[in-house]
Amino acid sequence: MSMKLGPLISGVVAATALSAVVIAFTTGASPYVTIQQAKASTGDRLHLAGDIVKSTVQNDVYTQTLTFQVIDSNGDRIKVKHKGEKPANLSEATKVVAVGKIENGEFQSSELIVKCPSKYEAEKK
Amino acid sequence: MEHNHNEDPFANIPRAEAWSLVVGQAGSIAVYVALAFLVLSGILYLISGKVPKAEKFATISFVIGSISIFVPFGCLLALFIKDQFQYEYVFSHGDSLTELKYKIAGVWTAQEGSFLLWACATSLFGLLTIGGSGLYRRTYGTVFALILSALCGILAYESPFDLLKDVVQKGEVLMPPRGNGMTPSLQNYWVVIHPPTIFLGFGALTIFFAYAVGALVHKNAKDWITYCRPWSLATLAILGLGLSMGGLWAYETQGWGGFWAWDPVENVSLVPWLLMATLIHGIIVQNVRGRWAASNLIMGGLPFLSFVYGTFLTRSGLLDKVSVHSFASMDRNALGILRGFLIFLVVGFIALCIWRAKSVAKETVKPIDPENGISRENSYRFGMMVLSMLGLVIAVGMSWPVIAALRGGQGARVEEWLYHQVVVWFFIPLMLLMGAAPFVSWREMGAKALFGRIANVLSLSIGLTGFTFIGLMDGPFGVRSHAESTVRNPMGGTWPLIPVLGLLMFLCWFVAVTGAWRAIELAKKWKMSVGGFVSHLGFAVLIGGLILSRGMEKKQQSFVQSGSPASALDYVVSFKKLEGKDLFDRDSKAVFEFKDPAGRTFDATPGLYYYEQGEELKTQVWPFVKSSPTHDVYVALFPPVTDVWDMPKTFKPKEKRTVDQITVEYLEPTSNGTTGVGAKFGAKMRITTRTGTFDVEPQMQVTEGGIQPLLTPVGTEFFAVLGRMDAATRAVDLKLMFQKPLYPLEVFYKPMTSLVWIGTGILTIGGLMSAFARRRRHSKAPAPLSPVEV
Repeated sequence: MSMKLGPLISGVVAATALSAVVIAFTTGASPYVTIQQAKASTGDRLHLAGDIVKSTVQNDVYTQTLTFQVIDSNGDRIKVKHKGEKPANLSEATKVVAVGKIENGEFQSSELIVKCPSKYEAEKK
Repeated sequence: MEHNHNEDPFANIPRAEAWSLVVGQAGSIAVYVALAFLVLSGILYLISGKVPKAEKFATISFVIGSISIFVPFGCLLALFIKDQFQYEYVFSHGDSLTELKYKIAGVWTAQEGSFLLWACATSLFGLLTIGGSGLYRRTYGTVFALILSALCGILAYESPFDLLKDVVQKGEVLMPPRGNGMTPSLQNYWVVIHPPTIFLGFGALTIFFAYAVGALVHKNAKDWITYCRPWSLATLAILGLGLSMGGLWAYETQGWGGFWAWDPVENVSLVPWLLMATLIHGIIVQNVRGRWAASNLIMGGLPFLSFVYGTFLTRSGLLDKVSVHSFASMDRNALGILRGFLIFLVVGFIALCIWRAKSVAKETVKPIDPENGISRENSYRFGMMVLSMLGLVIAVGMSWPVIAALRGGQGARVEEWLYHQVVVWFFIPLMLLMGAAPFVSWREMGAKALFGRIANVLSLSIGLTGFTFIGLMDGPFGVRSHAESTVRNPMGGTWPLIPVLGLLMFLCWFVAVTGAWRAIELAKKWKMSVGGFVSHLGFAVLIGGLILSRGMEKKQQSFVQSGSPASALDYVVSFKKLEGKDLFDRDSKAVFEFKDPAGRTFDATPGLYYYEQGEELKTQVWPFVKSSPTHDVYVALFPPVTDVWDMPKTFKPKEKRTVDQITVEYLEPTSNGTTGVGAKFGAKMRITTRTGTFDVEPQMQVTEGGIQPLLTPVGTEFFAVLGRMDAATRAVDLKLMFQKPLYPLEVFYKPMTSLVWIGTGILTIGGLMSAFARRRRHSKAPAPLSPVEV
């Protein structure tokens, strides 16, 4: 039986490692959240996806802070505040994924991922 | 000039020349020709077991089919080079004004072309290997022909030879004079060399899959490893080079200052690389000991299957939310073929393995007693397990958005920090093994004997790690400046950065020193395995560079205006000038002076130019990298801000409103002069900014060329510009602009990035050296059961 010792140890180690990874991903992956879920969450890398309300976009030129409202798939609204570099193509963007956390009822974004209708990648039937 | 309204509205648009239509047709038809020959070849190979005569015809039709796949590639290339914009694909990705290299690269910048590139690379390796597939040739040919047929099927639907909509008028084909051009952010030399390299690697993966299936079907798990060993080494080297090129491309152009973002598209190419590395080590064990044949059969199929899976995952739209790479949604039929192909291959391969792998593998065992202590075989087993698990873990990570969505909710994304946290637990044992295992002999040895052999290397590595940190100790960005830095740990807390980096650096040194040590030892003896250890050295150097440059990275954002320098990291940054023929010149640069505390200066010249897309003016920026052997200063420029507001704001007379902390009161409209050329219209306004309140009268003037706005200074900070005045209500559109554009910069300090380049080079050279050393020499090749006719 001693011949099987190596593979056995390998198997146990592999199974343990894989379970640990699945647990790590389950607990650690940054969730896509609705506004309702975001408000109930304490995570700091929440991914909030939604439509930008164009008329609410404000850019504070002195502090380079961008604020706008986002409507999620449930129709809820929240104010998103983003400090720092503004995505270049924000003015054409309709959908946005804001990465960040809830603070004082606002969504503090540390990263904005914008989705633009790109003319280079034409839609196909 | 008299204008004839009955005239053909398209009279001034050139007609497509006849040859171009023939070429497009030929390209389309060749896909079907290839498909027909390959299907035929697959069937003939399949029946050639019963009907030996069929084999010759199978091979002929395989060769014709495979060569036919290059025809659409050649046709598309010709259409790009000759600017044939009547074709939708050429129109969308080519332009007559771009350089030749971008016209060539246009072929593979989008979905259809990348499938074509995959098909061409695969058929190239099919042609190169079909003749040498020896006793597996029937199954090898069948599998290869089947895979190529599926790719042709996809190409038949994802055709790059469709004409533009509405281009055919009254039986004639019009030719638009210009195309959209390649996305400007892609226009860089890497787009010319990276995709062909990495797709060459992807294409080669088919070899191992087809051999593994052949070995299972023909119940011979022995010879296939000799056949595919040199190919596997070359494939690993090419894939590794392609991966590194992708990282360097991102670093040089993307502006986020890194090489690797754990993007799904990157992971799709990393997973096959890891699995190939596993297979190569398995082949070594089977070659020496005659064991692990079963696991090698499985490992032979996995790199290709993981790539097909990854391609499906990224092209299916399932990951749309998480990838920076955006793909057009695929043609439904083509996606269907890809999905069916994937399911068929995976299910078929698993079934075949369950049915055959164990019994086939029994034949290979050499009569050597297995060992339980520390032996090279056991080290290899553990190492291969870690490598393949790492591949699996990354595959799970890239699929996590889909897995999480299936579990309910909107899904979740595995981010960089989480990948790092998980990957490190595989990285540590892997590096320890790469450092120690080369000193372990195939015979069982005690821990003491092993330690005796590696003691020198171990102490040398510890010493070198110490020296590395002493070398990087001081200076504004040195180790000391990171005293407070932390990294996340898996328990949810943080660890201090420097000890973590110390451990990782030690591991890299350990592998590097062992690699160099063994390579020198073996080189003295003229052994073939030198290349392998050179690769290990290159891998350690590359990873060391990635870890140091990311781990000890410092970055700071800054906004610079002409005349108002700003500080970033330890530098004072001032704007000097714009350089270039004009703002549309692709070689235009923004010049910034960087001054360090000692007063030394250098100029950073990130690229900045404008282009028109439809009606809009767009900005393209390129980062600037100042490289030195010890560190890079990486300067990412973002589009300069000239407009204070995104959109002009409309004000009615007497209206007072505050927008973005600037208060505007529209006192009254004014006009100056009668209507006609020279007349001026204006608006008296009181504008309050941070620096004071200003009474201004921005105006528009009627000129021969239309209505021109006049720039009106508001204090020393802004210009007020009138966009439009409503004739009835006298409401105006007001735009505020910075008098001096605001340049947003992000400055990174990244130590030891030079190692990434050096490591890539060593890794590739090592891989190619091994592949060359293990090339099949005809005299030494295992005798095939019967010679192969080609």
